[in-house]
Formats: sequence, structure tokens, C-alpha cells
Amino acid sequence: MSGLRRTGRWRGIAAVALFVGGVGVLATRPALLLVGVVGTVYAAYPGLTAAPNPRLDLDRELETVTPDHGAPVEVTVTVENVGQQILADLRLVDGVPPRLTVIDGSPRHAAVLEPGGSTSFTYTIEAEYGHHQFEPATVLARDVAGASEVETTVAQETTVECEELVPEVPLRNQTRQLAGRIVTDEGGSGTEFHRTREYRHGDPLNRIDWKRHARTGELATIEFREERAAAVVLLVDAREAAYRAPEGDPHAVAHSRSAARGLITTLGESRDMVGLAAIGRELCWVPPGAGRDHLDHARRVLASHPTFAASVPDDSVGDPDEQVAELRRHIQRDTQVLVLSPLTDEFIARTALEFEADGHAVSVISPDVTDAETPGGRLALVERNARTQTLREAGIRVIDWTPDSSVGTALLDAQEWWSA
Amino acid sequence: MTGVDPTHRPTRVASLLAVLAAGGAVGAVATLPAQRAAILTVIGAVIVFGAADVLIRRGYRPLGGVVGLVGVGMVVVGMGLGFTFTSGYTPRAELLPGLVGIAVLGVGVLGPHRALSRRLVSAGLVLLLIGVVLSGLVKGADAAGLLAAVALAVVAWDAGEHAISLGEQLGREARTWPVEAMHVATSGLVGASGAAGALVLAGLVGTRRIPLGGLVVMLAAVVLLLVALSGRAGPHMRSNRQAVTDGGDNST
Repeated sequence: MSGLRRTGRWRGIAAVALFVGGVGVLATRPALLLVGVVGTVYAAYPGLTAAPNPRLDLDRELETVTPDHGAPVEVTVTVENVGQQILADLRLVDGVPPRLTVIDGSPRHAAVLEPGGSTSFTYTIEAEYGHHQFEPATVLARDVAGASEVETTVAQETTVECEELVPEVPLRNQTRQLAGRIVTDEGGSGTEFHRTREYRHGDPLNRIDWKRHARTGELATIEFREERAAAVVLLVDAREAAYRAPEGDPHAVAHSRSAARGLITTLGESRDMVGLAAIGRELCWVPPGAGRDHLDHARRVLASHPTFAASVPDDSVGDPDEQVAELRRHIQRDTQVLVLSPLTDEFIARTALEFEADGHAVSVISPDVTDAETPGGRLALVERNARTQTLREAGIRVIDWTPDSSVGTALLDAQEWWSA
Repeated sequence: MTGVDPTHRPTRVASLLAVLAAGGAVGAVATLPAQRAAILTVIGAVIVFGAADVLIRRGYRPLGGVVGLVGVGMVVVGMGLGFTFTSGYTPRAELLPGLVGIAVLGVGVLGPHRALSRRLVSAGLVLLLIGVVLSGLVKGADAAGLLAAVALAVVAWDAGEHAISLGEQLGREARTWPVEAMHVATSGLVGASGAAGALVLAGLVGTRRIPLGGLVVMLAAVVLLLVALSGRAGPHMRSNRQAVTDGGDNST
């Protein structure tokens, strides 16, 4: 965890002491010999200081943990020395989440801390869409002479949640028998005119076409397009293969997760039934439902379920085949499946095809995390394009999402494309 | 990508202390009014260099260049003052290397270039020490002056190096002054106690007539002891500063 390093910055001083003292002896100048004494004391100084042994507590407070996009968020970090030693030269670099930018102040700080003493500093970050986790703060403690340096980290779990506003989720035309927003080709009650048909006994009076009755004396019934709700299961691909990212960027699972959060909210508002599933470390399953409590529950699962963890899982953990088999038993007919996956391997493409074959309308939202800078990345990109093509040929909608922009923009673009 | 890219340049407080200590180091051996004027001129030149640096970084390139030239001119004027208004070999020998040392160290702590800064600060220390040694050789300054000069020279280097290291790791935006003040004060205290110890030793040599050879042997023994001690310095050795000051006091 912590590494002790000798800086060796005083090494040259011993040579200085010997040189000056030596000149003093050779030229018989007692005064210079005395100067050599001071040099010697300085040469000894680093050897007499104790190596620091920092024991710290870190407390990080945020103005708000659920900011709006682009809003400044003030972060106050307080560090307390809980050890027995004076920390004469303590340097701190806070672990700002990689995707967030500091717009004011500095996440870096230095302090002298006596035992029990604390120091705090403040800086401002700009909120970006998504779920951001602070990394542990880096601590560099030097003794007062700067002779030895200990590097360690001090952590406190802090997350910033900036909800992505997804304007509308383009769903396919698979619906349930509930009033909702998907406009069907079936006549019934709704708002958009569909057709008129011959009056049948029992049709409601307000749907009778009275103008035609006045004109011709025939009774006819107006039908509107029925608008129905869909049931959607968001399936997040959180297998080891999905934890991919270009150097230094967040991985695809983090993108999928923040997109899923936005989708849950939007689908919930449009009265569609939303369910949540994930494959990876273990199967995560929240059956489709509606209502505020259900949405809150789904969001909580998304925030805390181990399958969505930020760290890359072991390859050996979890059997995706079994998880998908179980999921196929769980998901009812008439339920759409929205797969969130970077499409990094064949398995997830095959899974999408299987769901489609089972009679579910499948759409794929795919964050593009391939890195076109490297040859391997370009190969991955070619393979991903081939998979996208296969899925599209099978009638599955694939929404290619570049995570630099918001998922909402990608969905709107895709919708325009389909309706054009 | 992470946060504001810190300006990895030497921190201000320790840099300023470094330049002042360097001035003090030269001033401790060069005590004539003309020499003092020369030192102040060169310190002023370093401040002008700082202003030029600020101007250039803010985009006023030509103006900054002109101001920088003014600084160079001030160094030349300072050295000229030291040279023309003093007579004889002694005051010049003890002053001129030190003046160049202040300027070089001053440019070093302005941080023109990351790799260069440390070398300039070290070169500044070497020049300051050459001034001290020359002063000792030509019998310019008394023992107390030499001791103060060498202690201040080391403090100047230590402060400059500390400023560079803090600047590299934390940058100038971070609040670092307490650490800088603590560091420089402690090394100043070490120098003061070393100088005090040396004076006490000189008193012993003077009054009880300890032979110079004996003193040399004793110093060699002290060096060996300290080398042995520094080899096993670990976390078990606590209250370090106390140990150093105690060591100085005990020799009475």
C-alpha cells in the first residue's frame, strides 16, 4: 500500500562539507574548517529525521451529489492526522473522477499536521452526465528534511450522480394490452384517427360518426389508433468482455450503467413497464414493473448490485450461458429487450439473436469504446461493425452510441433515421 | 484529463525565501556598503526576471523580453557596482561568485524548464559556496560571517529544491505555504545550531588550545559517526529536530 523512498536530496551536501573542510585544512584556515562543521551538520540532518508514517482520515463533502449537467459542484476535502507523528510535509492529490474537470481551485494541497490536527481544502468540479466515483486521494508524506518520502492513498467512497436526460426511448412495436404511448396499427380508443367501420352493436355513442349518420342515415363507428404501453427489460452486458475502454477512459459498463439510469427514468415517465437485468458476475434481475416505488427500486439495484461494480471482474466468475438461460425463463412474452452492450464479442450478439428468435423485440444500444488509435482497436472496430450488421439483418435495431455525446442524442438520431 | 493541469512550477513562498537566503549568504561575507548595494541590485534583478516571466506567460512576449533584458542589465550593473566601488582582491573575490550565484538560483526557482530548474539551483549553491570559500581563503570575513554564509547558502538551495519538488507534485494553485515555511524554518534552525556548535568548538580551540590536528581528527570522527547514524535512520528514531538541537547544545 505505502512505499517508502529515500529522496537522496541531501547527498551532495556531505561532499560540500568535506570539500570546504578539506580546503580549510590544506590552506590552514581554521575558519573554513569550522564551515565544514556546519556542512557536516547538514549532511547529518537527513539521517536524524524519522521516516514519516502517515495515518490519515479523509472526509469528502460535496455541495450536491446529484448535480445537473454542467453545474459546478464544490468539493471540500478534510484530512485528519490520526497517527501519533507530526507530519511536517504532507502533500495530497485528491482522486477526481477521470471524466470530471476541475474548473476552480486545486484538488492538490499541502499541510503540516500535528497529531489530531486536520486540514481542509476546496475545489470545484463541473458535473458531467453519468455516475462518477472519486478515486482514493494520493498522499505523499515527507519528513521535515525531505530525506524520505512515503507514498500512500487514503480513500473515501464518494460518488456523483448526474442523471442523463433521455428524451424518448424508441421502442419497437411489441406491446401489451395497456394504454400507453406506442401507437399501434390496431383500431380502438386513442387520439389519432385510424378508420371508420360499420357500426356494431355495443359501440360507445361518442364514437359514432354522427355527421355521416346525418348525411346518409347509416351508422358508422370511428376508430382511433390504439396507443399501448410496452414492457421493456434493459439488459446490461457486464461480463468481463464488456469492461473495455480506450486508455484512460471509463469502460463500457460504466457508460451502459449511466445510460440505463436515464432509460429507467424516461421509460417510467412514459408509463412503460421497465425491468432491469444484467449478466456478468451474477445474474441481476428486476422484473418489469411500473410506479415510482418500482423505479426507485430499479435505480437502487443499478447503483448497488455487484454485477455493475466499477472494477473488472475475473474471467472465471459467473457463467453467462446459464445466466442467459435463466433470463429467458424469466422474461415473459410480449416483452421487449433493450440490450446495452459494447458488442465486444460474439456471445452477446448471439444472445440478442436468441431473444429475437424467442419472439421478443430486441434493440441494442451499443456504446462505442473501440480505440481507433491502435491496430488492435481497429480490428475490434471491424468485428464490432460486422456484429452490428448481423444484428441489423436479423431485424434488430442497433443504436451506435459514441459515449462522448449523451445517449439521448444518439437515441434521437436513431429515431430520426428510422422514421425517415 | 484529470482536473486542471497544474502549472508545475516552483512554489512561490519557498522560492522567495531561497532568493532572500542566497542574498543573505552573500551579505554575510560581503559587508561593505558597495557590496550590499550590489547584492540588493541583483536581488532586484531576480524580481525583475520574475515580472518578465509573468509577462511572457500572459502572452506579452515582446514586453516580457524587454523586461527580462532590463533584469540582465541589473545583474551587470550589480556586478559592476561590486567591482568598481571596491578596491583590492578580497572584496571582489568574496562578492562576485556569490552575485552570479544569486542570479542563477533566482532563475532556477522561477522554473524556466523542469529539468533545468534543479541544475540551476544546484549551480547557484556551488557559486555561493565558492564565494564563501574564497572569502575564507583571502581572510575576508570572520568565522561568524562564514558560518552564517554557508548555513544560508544551504538553506537557499534547500528552499529552492523544496519549491521545485512541491511545484512538480502540487503546482502553484495549491495552498502549500505552511509546508514551505515549516521546511525552510527547520533547515534554518539546523544551520543555526550547526553554526552555534561550530562557534563553541572554535571557542574551545581558541581558549584551551586544542591543536588543529586534533580538531580535524575529531571532525572526521563526527562525520563517521553521522554516516553510521544516517545509515540506520528509521521510523524508530523520533523527535528528530530535538536530536539535532540537543547535539548542538551538548557540546558546551
